[in-house]
Amino acid sequence: MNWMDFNKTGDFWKAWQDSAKGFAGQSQPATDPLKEWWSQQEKFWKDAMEKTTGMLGNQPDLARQWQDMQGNFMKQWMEMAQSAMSKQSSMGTGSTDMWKQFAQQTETWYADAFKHKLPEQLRPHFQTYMDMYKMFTTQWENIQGMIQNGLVEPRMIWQMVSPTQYADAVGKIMGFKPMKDLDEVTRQANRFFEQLRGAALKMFPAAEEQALEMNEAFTNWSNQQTDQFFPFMNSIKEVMKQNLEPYFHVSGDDTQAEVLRSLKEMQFSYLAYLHHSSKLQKMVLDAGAQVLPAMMQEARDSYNKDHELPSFDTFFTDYMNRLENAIVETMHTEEYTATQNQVLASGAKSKMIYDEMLENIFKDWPFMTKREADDLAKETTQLRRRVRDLEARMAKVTTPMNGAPKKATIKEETRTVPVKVSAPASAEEVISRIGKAPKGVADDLKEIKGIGAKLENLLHEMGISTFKQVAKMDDTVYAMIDELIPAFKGRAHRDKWAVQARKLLKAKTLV
Amino acid sequence: MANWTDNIVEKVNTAADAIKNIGDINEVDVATAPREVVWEDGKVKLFHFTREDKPKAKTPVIISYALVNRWAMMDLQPDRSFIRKLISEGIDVYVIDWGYPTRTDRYKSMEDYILGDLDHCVDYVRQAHGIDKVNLLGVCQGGTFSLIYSALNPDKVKNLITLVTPVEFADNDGLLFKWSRDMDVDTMVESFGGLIPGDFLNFGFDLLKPMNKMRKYYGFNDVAKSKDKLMNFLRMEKWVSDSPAQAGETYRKFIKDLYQNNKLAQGTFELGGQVVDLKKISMPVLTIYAKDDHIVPPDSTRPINDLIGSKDKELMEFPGGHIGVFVGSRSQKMLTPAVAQWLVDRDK
Repeated sequence: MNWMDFNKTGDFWKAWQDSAKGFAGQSQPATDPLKEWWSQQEKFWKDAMEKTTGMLGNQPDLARQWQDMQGNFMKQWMEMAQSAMSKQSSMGTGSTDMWKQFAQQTETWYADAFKHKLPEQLRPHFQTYMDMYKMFTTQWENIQGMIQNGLVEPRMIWQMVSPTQYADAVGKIMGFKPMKDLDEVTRQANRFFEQLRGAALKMFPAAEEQALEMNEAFTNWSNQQTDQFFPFMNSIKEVMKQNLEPYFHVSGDDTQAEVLRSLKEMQFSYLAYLHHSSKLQKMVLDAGAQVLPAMMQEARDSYNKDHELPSFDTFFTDYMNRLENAIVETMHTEEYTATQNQVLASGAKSKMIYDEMLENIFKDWPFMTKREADDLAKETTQLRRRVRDLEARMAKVTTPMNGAPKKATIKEETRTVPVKVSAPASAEEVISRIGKAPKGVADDLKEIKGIGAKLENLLHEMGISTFKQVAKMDDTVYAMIDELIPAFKGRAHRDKWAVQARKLLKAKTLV
Repeated sequence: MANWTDNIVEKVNTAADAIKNIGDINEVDVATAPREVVWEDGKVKLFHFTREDKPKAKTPVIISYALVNRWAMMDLQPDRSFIRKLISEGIDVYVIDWGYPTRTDRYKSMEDYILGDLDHCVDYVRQAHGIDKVNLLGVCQGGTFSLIYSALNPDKVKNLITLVTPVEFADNDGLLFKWSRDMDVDTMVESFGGLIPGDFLNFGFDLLKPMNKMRKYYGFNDVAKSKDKLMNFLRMEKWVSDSPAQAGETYRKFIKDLYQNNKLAQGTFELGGQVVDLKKISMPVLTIYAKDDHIVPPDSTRPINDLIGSKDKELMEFPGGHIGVFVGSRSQKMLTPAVAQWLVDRDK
């Protein structure tokens, strides 16, 4: 069963709505059952959402609990409604606030559940939306007050609406990395790279020393051991040592010098990245910062005429649209395009230097590096291309002059991988693959299941007379034999001659 | 008083419905039209959609979608599926699934895609149906591929349809076009290790209308309180976030030769040692563009009609944006039937 049976609860809400409507216009402080119910609701929803975010469907216990709560509340509500009606009075303003708060909170709770249904990469966008919405709802009273009182100059607006909040919101929309103070960020970056270089200076010799020390200590220690195991293990260690040689030379002078140089290069390209990013961010933020004051000025002008304030929804959606237009307009300028390309290029360059550095550090290690993987990818692609060219050339040879090739050919080519016989089948070809039998030497091929006297004779005629030869047969040879001895087609493959022959050979040597 | 009660009652009701709907949805399904893999090479697959009745048009259509994002857009929700609609209008449909390239594919070039995969798929369908020519329907970047292919192989293409397909890269004010003109594409390809991540491509598309990725959440309460709306919303979200990376070499050539040097429109674009002359396209061509397309503006699409050599050619304007072409109600009611009819009329 699903955790909420909404046929029941739907009816319940409808009943609640009807009776709530009946109370409109009357006044009486909220009664206890209502308060009690609300605090229960609040606690329950909160718990439920925390526990079950994203997987409400799997919580039958919570479902029952929720149902029970609805039932209890319904009872309480009906009692309260009856008593209130008998007194000709209703809920007061206290309960209005309570309900408002409740409604707002439910929205936040299910917004969270909604967010968890979105693909992971998109969740931050939803969060940004919620943050912006929240920023506006919390500022809405201020904005209204300022419009009513004509406080719509930019310097007044930025007193009430925090510029940081604005910059954060736009930064999230544009995917900016926060950078409020370029000077400070530059200082931090420089410090970071200096520390890295310092560490690299110390680390490399230390790493080599440590590795050699460890090795020596271990050798000394194991030489003193009397267990028979140790000499044995030391011999393995010698082999391993040869394989691990590169580890001990990670810290070679060349590598260290290269890493230090890379770090310096990276520092500069990274500073360029910071510099261009900061410029780009400023362009966008400045463009967008004009929007709110302009809208508030307009709202003030129209308030002067008709004393009406814009509605929250209109103002909010209008703001989103106009902010976007202002930003897009900036993005259309040459300066923006140039700066964005510089950001991309300097960011990309930093990453390239970083990759190169890692490549240098790990080049002797026993795993495939990026550069090697790239070579492999290149070769694979070239091979595919050559196969394609060959196929095209083959098609030219085999396709009839007019009309499409037959249906059957395609199935064979694409769906199965037929064993291709590269050379025309001949006894010579077979022997060249499996070797000649020494003169006068012959095994009893009839011991191989599937080979009778007749087949044995035919094989002898081809020059096949030993298990050793049969053991070397593969799919290609089977195909050739099929072609040369069509009467027994498929038999070699079916009975796995080579496998049988290998077993027989083994048995023979053991005897 | 009546106002706030109504308001709150509505909010609480919405919340109750929303929470139920959100809790009920465990799997978001897209691309559900029944199909089977008929051809496969590496990461690329050719799907054939199964149908119960005989198609009205004898010649099947192969859909070549963009390498950006996934063809699932054309079968996003069962009741508004471009592909299902084409099938029900009597067209036999194939779609090429380009797969998800990885670093092994970094050297896979436009040549490999167009003269390799696309050509193989066309050959498969020709042979499977015993016909000389197939119908091609190219979407966006996949449309540019189809144009190039049709110019090089006019004898294998019976009819060509391009949907929101860029061909003129110089003369338009689209932001993507503007930004790409001076982009240091070599450095980009190199630094990404030869594989342009889907997230990077998406980031670029998002920037064109920076608010879009958030504006859609406005009124999410109304979406969540209806189960159908919520499901369809989540389907679109799934599609948006399902973005394959692009092979570096293909990206490099696409940006350099097309976005930066506009070679295809100028008749200097080369592929596999051959110059691509769009005038060689002589089969009937239907060019569909979206009036409010901010990703591929009409200015970059409409010139197809002037650049090709066909006598039977048609321009069709769709009232909407880049995505509306596939999922809008107008797409279902007007566009897809028109496309099907156009193909049926030219099936002789």
